[in-house]
Amino acid sequence: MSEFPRNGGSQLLRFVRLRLPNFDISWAGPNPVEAGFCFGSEDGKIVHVNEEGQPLTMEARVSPSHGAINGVAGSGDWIAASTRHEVAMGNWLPKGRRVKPDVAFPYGAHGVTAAGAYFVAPLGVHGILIMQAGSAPNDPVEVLTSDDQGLYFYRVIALPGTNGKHFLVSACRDGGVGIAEMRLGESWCSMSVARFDGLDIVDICPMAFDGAPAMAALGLDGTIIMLRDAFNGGKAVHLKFGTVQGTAYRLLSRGQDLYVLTSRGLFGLMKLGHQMLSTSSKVNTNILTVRMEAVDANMVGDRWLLVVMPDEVWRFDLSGITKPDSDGAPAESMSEQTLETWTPAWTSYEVRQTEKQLTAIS
Amino acid sequence: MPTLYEIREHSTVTRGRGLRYLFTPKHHGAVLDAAQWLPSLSFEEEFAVFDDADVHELRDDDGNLYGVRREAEGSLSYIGTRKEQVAEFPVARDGEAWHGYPVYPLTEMGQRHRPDRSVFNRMVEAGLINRSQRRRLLKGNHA
Repeated sequence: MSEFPRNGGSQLLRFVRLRLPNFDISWAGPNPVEAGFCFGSEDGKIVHVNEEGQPLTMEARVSPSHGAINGVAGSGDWIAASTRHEVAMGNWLPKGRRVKPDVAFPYGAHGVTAAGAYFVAPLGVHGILIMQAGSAPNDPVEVLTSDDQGLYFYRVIALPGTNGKHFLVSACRDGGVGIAEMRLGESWCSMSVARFDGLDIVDICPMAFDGAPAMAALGLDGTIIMLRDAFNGGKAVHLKFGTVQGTAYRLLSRGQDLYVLTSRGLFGLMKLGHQMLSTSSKVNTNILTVRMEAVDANMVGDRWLLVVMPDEVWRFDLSGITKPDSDGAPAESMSEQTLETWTPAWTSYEVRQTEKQLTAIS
Repeated sequence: MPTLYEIREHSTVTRGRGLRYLFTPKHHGAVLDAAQWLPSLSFEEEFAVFDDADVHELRDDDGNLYGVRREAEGSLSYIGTRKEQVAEFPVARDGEAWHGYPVYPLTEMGQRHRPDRSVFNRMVEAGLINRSQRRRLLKGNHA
């Protein structure tokens, strides 16, 4: 186990290094099949490991192009993995028990996530892919595309909506944040878009907030926008902490805490979600800072934070750092910031929904 | 940089192999469907990306060159209007001038216009990107 000093060296933040021989890890996240983690490699393979990083399965080649894995998700018996070359899907059952061949959609994606029985992947300028788990070669998939050149679909999350449908919430770079209800089989759907002047939105995550849907978005410069009740035009809170430095990569949430990964480090903004309820124009937030040059990060359940480093994965146990001891979140610094609260202007766009076909992976 | 209406050649050649370079209207506002250099990028800055690519031999097996623009503090600049951070310079025939355009990360379908892993390795060796940035670019993420 390794440790970072914090609070001037009086406390320690522990992490465990996980690595696999001959497996250059490009992505680490939840195991879509069972407990534990899943690692994706730089040459297009995935492997399931336990929480100590020991393999539970053989390495499996999932990217026909041997591209670096940038996302893995599961739905039922199916796993999807994305690379800059394609989105591939296969059955995780042993080969003899598989009922359909593996398939791929030949567009690069920035990641993939599950939305019920579907996989959803942001395709950049090409839109959002919606692919039913278990689809066979030549089966249709749907792609949401916008004629608005500013909408670059970079990250997508699926949030539960009404009547069993999902909302797709997208980080659209200069295009802001987009929200669309997932409706299949229709030629058009409506997407609400909120732009934030000068902000390049690179990530988005759900937040726990009083039972109502809430989310947070991350700007390239580390600015955070928290959106409360966004589906109904609720208010937004705009925050920028000087402590959060570097090019912003990822935004992850755990309860009321937000974690920002940048080119310079990992920044835990503790209990920031409470600020959405604040009536004060000032906010005091403990900021946990770990200096590092990381590649990527993902949350696994409510406990683990996996940070992909160039040679290994660092596993942080978050349950050990946010025990409810008064305001006792560990912190390297306390930061005060002026809150800017406003109601974003949401514009509704008609987004085309087109059918394309999957191809078989030989 | 305004829209370019005619092909323009850079006044000097690269420091490496002495390659000539053309600025083309197609990638400077004339053909909006094509990849576009960022309007705020000057001709000199665009040429510098090409020059570094040649000097550091950032090429794939086919001879195409690839370049990035590194900021003083180590971050990578955006060079294209669709958040591209890598440019491609397709190999020119002997004696002919080269040209280039921003291509990365996901501007095209399929395998085209995606630099090989070996190109990113050379960028690391040349000190243009660090190992974390290399892996992010390989994944199609911004760095």
